[in-house]
Amino acid sequence: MRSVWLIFQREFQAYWTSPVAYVVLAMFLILSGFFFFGEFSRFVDFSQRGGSGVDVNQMLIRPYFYTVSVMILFLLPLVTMRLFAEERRQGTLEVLLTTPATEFSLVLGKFFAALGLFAVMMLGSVVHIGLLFIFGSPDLAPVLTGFLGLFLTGAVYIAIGVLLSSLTQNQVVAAAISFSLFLALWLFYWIGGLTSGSLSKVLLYTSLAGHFENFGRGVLSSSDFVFYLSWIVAGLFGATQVVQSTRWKA
Amino acid sequence: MIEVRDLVKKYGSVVAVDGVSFDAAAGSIFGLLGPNGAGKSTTIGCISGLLRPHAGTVRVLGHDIVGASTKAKKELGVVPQEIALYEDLSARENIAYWGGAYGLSGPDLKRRTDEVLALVGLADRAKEPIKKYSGGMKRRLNFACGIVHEPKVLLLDEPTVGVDPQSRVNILDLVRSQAQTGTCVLYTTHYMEEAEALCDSLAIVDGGKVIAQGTMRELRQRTEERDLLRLNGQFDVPHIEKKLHDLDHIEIIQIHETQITIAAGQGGNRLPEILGAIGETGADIRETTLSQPNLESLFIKLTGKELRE
Ligand SMILES: Nc1ncnc2c1ncn2[C@@H]1O[C@H](COP(=O)(O)OP(=O)(O)O)[C@@H](O)[C@H]1O
Ligand SMILES: [Mg+2]
Repeated sequence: MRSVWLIFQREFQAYWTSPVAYVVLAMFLILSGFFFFGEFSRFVDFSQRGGSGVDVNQMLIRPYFYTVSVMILFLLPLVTMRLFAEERRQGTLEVLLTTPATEFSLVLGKFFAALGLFAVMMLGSVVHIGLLFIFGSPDLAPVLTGFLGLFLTGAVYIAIGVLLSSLTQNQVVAAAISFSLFLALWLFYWIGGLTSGSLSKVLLYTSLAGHFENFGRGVLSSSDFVFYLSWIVAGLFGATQVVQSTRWKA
Repeated sequence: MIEVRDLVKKYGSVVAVDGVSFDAAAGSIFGLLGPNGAGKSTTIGCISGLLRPHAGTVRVLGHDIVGASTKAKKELGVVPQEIALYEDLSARENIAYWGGAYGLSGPDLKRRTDEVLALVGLADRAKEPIKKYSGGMKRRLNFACGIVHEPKVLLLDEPTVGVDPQSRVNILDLVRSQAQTGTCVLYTTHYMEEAEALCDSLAIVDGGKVIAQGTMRELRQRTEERDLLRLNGQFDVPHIEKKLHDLDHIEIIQIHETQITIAAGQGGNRLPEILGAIGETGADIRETTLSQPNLESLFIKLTGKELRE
């Protein structure tokens, strides 16, 4: 497991020596900040005009989490695209496979590095929501579950992104496929709502959006956890299999 | 230290390695000599644990590369044919990374990184991003990354292809000094001169098979005392075959309409006689090459074709 740490360090540093981390962070901070402060001023306006029964959790925090969860759908493919694709293009993957490091430790190290960058992005959101606690007193529980849901959603995107990056040596292809797939997973929710019967059930269950909504409402259920974890495990397991299959053809 | 038995590796229907067996010993350089596509890289891939063999076994210091892969891999250093470096890192960072991948850390890693940087002559440019490096410098760095952890077994896949003469000398010296310190070196090449200059023993491979194997001395003896005469031009094949048949102590190794290869004892002295006989057929000889017996002539004798095509 030393090699997990080695790969993590290497990949996490690589984010900061290339433009990736800065571009993704800047885009995230600008977009989420724009949304947050827009909604924030609308909310302040509303409550100053004596809007009764205004609930900051209901009116501001839930839409914020929801919007951020959509933003990362666009941004995380940029974070995961290079992880294995670049390694394949440079020919370093084949040499890594001759070292004592196992395929799974390579996958895990890269997964955690991307998760690390995602955690840095989330700090921006912590500041946003933190401001609300300075000026008011929102309910803490839905905030915590919201962050947990956001983090798990990001982890699913990253795990699948790692898998897709392992399939190609072209970063752009990896990003494009990741993005399309995430969008599809998200849209299942609406399509599922429009249809009925067992197909609808499957779509609704597979979609990330429905499970995320529970977290936003402050509801923690083990079935949602299992759902997210299965996606993460599937992504990481799949990536390990793909990297292993390199041994047969190379 | 390396023990390869009846190794077979296929890519789909292509049999890239077809029943290869050999042993390589500590403190010596074992060569795999063969033309492009002979299966050298595939053999190295199977020994290094990158590729799964379809049949046969590979042992590294007694550890089976499939059954006990982690133990076997710890003893190995691999320098791949294609340069495999991180373009965004400096030379020092690249070496440190590969050292780390083999479990080095702390002061040991720092000491070894400094040592190999000096060995490959990159110490004064170690901090530059390697994007600016020349091909020869990258080759030397690629080499450094493979020896940073002082492996007991070193696999080198054509480490001098495409380098400047100076880097080539540097790399060949490094290979020799690795063997002198007790490392078992497996060296693949398609340069006959390199194999002759470097290797203690050798397997000549072609089409995935070992066609000759032994110590350098044994192989030199097998090349006999005959010289090789190669003619390029325009030839009437049946006519020439008949003419040469009448001459004593001459063997046609290979004959085409544009090229003939002949083995003959004392080839230099017999040149007028042979050229005369061929000339009588009305052949148009454009180029003649006479070469001393060497590994190349052994390869030509065994396969009927040249090593470098
Ligand atoms: N990834 C691959 N897929 C299919 N065929 C391959 C692959 N790699 C090598 N080969 C084939 O296997 C044979 C041996 O190749 P290789 O081991 O690279 O030879 P060498 O290193 O001696 O030049 C060649 O015929 C080559 O075309
Ligand atoms: Mg090769």
